[in-house]
Amino acid sequence: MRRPGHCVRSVLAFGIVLMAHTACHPGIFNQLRFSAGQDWLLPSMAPEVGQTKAAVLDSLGPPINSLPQPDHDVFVYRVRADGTTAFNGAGGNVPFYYSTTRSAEQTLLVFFDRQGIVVRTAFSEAH
Amino acid sequence: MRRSTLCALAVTVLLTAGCVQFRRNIGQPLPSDDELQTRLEVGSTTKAETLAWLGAPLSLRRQHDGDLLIWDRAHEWSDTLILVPLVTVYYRTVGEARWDRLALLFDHDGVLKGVGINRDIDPQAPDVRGDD
Repeated sequence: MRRPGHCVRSVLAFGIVLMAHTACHPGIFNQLRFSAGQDWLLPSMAPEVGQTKAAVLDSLGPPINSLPQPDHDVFVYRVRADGTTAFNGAGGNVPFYYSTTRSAEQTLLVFFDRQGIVVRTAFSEAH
Repeated sequence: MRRSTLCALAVTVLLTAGCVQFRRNIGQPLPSDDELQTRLEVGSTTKAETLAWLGAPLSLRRQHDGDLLIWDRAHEWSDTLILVPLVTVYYRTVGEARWDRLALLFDHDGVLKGVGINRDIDPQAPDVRGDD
């Protein structure tokens, strides 16, 4: 019959081996940064109601997208930046993963009527 | 820590460091502002003349008051640094996508009525002028 202490010592020894093995694997440090789009937008850059489509093109430049609507044309302006930092310690036997992501996105929508006149705008910002 | 150990560690890190660079240009460079001002005149330049000069646009968006034609020139890049002493311990990537974009608005008769241009690519960057 085995003594109870033997089992405890075996578990401790196994744990120490696990920890040592994990310590030998320093893990992976990841950093990813990516941005897309033009310069950052400002709410004050939204065109005034009544401006023509040509004036909007002249002041804001080409939209990133144009959405077809039954009664409107919509210009979409969008800027986005992403950043991720991660530490992956799963190279050892004890998995450990830490990750943090920061994203920023700005969107400006410009609605035109059928004659190409600005009828309203919408601006959103997310961090 | 002894100096020889430090040197060995530094050499190991240097020998196992990797760097990956990615560069890509998409589309033809847009004409200069002077060329655009010379050849595009709101109220008289036609869609046919523009297409003959600039070629096919990247996209054509039907509008209630005409057509919106867009030409693009994109430049994408990323730099990656990897340190691999025994196993990968450090991996860093920084990237960016930038583009020059020209949008021309034509009325239903095919006459130019609006011009929008955005230049975001640094023309002095050495990797921008490369072959496509």
